Amino acid sequence: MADSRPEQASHVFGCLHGLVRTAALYPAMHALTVKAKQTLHDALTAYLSTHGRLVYRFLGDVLVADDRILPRESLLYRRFVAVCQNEWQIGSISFIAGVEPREVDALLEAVTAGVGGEPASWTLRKGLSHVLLGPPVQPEQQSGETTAKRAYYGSIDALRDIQATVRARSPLAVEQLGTLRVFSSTLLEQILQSPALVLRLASIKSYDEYTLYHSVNVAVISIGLGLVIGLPETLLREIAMAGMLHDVGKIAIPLEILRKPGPLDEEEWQIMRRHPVLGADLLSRLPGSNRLPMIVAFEHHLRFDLRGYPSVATGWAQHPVSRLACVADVFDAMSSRRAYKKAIPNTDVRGFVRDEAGRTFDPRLVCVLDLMLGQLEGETPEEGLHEKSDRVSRA
Amino acid sequence: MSNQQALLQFLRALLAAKKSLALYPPASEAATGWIERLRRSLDDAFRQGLIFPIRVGRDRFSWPGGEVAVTDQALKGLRFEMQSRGILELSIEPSVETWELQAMLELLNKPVEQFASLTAARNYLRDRAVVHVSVSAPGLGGLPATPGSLDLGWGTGTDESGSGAMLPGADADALDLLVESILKSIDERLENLAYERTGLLEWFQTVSRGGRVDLLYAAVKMLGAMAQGSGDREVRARTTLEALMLLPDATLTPFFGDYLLPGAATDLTAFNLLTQVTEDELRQIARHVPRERLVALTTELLEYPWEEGKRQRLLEAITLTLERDADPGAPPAGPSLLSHSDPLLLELRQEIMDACRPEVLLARSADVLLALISSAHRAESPEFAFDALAEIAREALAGGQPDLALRVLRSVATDATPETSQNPPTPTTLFRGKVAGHSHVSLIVDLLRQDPPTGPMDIATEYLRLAGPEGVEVFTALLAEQPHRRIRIRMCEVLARVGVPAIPSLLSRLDDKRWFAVRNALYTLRKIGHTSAFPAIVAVLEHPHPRVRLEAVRAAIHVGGAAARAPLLRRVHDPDPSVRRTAIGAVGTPGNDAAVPELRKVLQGPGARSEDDAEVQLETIRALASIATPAALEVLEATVSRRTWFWKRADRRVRDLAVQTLAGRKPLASVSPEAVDGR
Repeated sequence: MADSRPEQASHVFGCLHGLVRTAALYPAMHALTVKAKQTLHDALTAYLSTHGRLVYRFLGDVLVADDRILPRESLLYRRFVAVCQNEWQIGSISFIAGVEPREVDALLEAVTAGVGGEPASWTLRKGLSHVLLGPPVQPEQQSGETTAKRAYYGSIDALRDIQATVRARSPLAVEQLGTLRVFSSTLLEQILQSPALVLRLASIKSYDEYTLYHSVNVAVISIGLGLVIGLPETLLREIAMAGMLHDVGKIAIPLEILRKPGPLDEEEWQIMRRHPVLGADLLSRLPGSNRLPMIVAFEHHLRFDLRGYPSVATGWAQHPVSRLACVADVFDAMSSRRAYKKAIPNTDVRGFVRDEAGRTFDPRLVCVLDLMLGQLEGETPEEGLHEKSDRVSRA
Repeated sequence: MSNQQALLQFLRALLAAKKSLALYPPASEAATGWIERLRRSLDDAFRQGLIFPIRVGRDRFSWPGGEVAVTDQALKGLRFEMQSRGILELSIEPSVETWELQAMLELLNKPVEQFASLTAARNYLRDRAVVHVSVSAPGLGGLPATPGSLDLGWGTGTDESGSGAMLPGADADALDLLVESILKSIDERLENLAYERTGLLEWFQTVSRGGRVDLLYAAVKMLGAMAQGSGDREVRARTTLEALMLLPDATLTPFFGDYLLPGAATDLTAFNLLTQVTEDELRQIARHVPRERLVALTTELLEYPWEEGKRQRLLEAITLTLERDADPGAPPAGPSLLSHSDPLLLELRQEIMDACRPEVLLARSADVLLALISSAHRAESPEFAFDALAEIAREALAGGQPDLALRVLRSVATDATPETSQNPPTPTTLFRGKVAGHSHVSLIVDLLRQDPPTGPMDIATEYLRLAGPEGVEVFTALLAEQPHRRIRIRMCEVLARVGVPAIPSLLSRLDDKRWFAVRNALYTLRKIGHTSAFPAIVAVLEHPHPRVRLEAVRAAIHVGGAAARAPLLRRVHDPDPSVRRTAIGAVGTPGNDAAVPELRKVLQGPGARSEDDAEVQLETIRALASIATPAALEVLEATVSRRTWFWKRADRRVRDLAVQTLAGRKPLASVSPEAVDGR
């Protein structure tokens, strides 16, 4: 059964935000304000009766509830989150079961008028025991790697959600893509701050959910390649999304083929080779103005010499971003352990990629990969390297 | 004139001046002229005994002499605007200065958010030292609060004013008509402007001169409101947007930041305008406003109660824009791994960036989707690709890539199999249905606004041929709505080029209640010239509107040829002279003896009582000459012999032409006018 905590936490935060907006329009004793307080209190009581505790953290632009990023809410309530941190010096709000109406009143006062200094002492002064406020986390205290990993696993969650939707033959929602987009943006932001994260994140693997982890890894490696090329941030976001979704067609491939312990027979290969077409078809169903993911999903196995699949008309040229994703795809696939093979060391993968320059890969991108690996492996601290993990999911 | 009339006259002048001040800068000639007109109207009203204050009631205006129920939309709007500013009473003294009137009008034109209370309105007037205009609410400011006291005031006022001379009713009506006609002409001008990007830009520049962005916003809102009821509101909104985007940054920044975006969450016009922006335009808008403003809008839009689909799309677009708000040409913000000046990297970078331009991605998406639908696994790669292709075609049309739209249509629509009632519609049929829809075809009409029209007309023709009968039907419906003659002619030309496939849609328009729609259809059918339309054209020969009958006669001649002679004979006695002349000309073909009796009747009528009649009879002479049978010549001779009076110049012209015509066939002496007159 799916975990409904993020939805519930999102609802509670929506109630809090609704109360703040109502209070800005109406006096404290106005019926609408009273009703909004009651709504928040009811939502909190319902949540806490099940889970006991609810902690919201504000990390820059990111809203985290019980250690999960709320991507959509991060965007929707961005202004409120910023005001809490920058004007009221509030970096976290914790709720413990037993919240009283007066504590909701106090919280409203805190997030509309501030706490006048240290949040913890204000909480003490007000005698609050079920609502606790914490100071904002200073940028230098925020761990880029922690945020990046949160975003990494958030992306896995989002892809898992997309997978479930597709397998249930339900239409994908724009919001699902929006969620993925927020996570990929967060990943990008962290990688921009610390490019060494590319290899550390890309080394996270999963045997059971290979496709999902592989998709995020391709996004991460594509960002790294794009960084080396010097692409602008706007484009890197799109490339990251394209990487995330490049293998979305595999969702429609039977699991027994995907996980088959051994080489595929011809018929199975025929099915497997349809995943670019299926992926592009799935992505074509989504409204939205950006079509790069669909193009990459369709072309990422075409090869530089167009001898790959699916078959295309004469004169077709592989889109440069598809070529880039192709390099990232092969690099991650080869360095991962699969049912039918062991993980291949990076040095061997680089050798293979060099050999295939001009055939499978664009020779210029092969150079870019070499440059990226050379640079990053030199930069990456030993302890962070090859954090290969077969963890199915985060703790 | 009644006192009620005096009040109405004043209120209408007030409305006209308020509107013009909203459209033109205060110091402009137009605005000044209207304020002076208001001044004169006010003087007239005082002379007729109008006494202030005027009270704004729930559904009426009242004054010490009575009350006027508010029935028309304009006055309702005025009443609402006053009430929403807390103004329940308005008082103007006879000694009011013109600049004070202007201040009052400016107050009424100010955004209601800034003047939601009476105090704000009063302060506004006080700050401008306005002393002869006052606003209040009943019971405030020492003004009489009860209707009874108002009645007393009315009586006193009449005495004091000496019951000045009333305007004659005709003068007042004339002024009334003048005001209405000017308002109408302003509306018409704006209606025309709505399709002209250049004209709109000029107007926007004029309106916003001196930093009057509030006026610009009012103008945009007005255009939006005018477009609401029209069938092509998307086209109009696009034109408005395109004109706006050409304004200088100094105007655009406050326009977007202070007016359009804040208004979008609550005002339907602003919202609708924003939903029409493209991704690039939204990015451009984002450069003019603080990021927080866009973020705030996303939150506000969540609470917006209407237009769920549009709202979601707008939210998605804003979200995307927020994520991409960095300069697309700028290098990444983070620390770089390598020197970005490496030639190899520069080349690759440029190649990727070029390949990711929106128009390139759109074209490549079309390639991918076309490959999908033509792939070996077509049975499983389905209708969604067709939907996406239809969307690409629309974007291509809207984004100035009509060739791409045509390429998509050529690839998909040409192999459409005819749909039968037994089978479910195929994806191709559904695709054709989409590209033939209003959203697509209205963009085709939009293309025809471009000059020179040759290229767009070729594109439109091919598009309609590929889109099939449904597309032609929509196009024909849009033709009926098209206000611009120039575009109408181009649309007719396109339909004529489409040819026979357009005939069913055009024939269905012949039953339209709007005469001009029928005339346009006939004009196009004539251009197509296919005989299958002939029976329907003949039926329209009896249409009540003369311009339709005239076009039907022309079309019947062109399409029916000889077969048209018989039905056209009935029209030689048409009440409209133009129709008569054209029909007579049409039946006058060599050897058409059957027409002679009817033509004789035309000539034997009461004579030429007007120039039009004379032209008809002259045409009859020419027709008979063309027929040239003995019976026709006999009629001509009879005309020559007919007695005419020297003061009937028209009759003499007819007889002279008959004489000349016969002279070409007989010895001159036997038919000389002198000989005839001498009899």
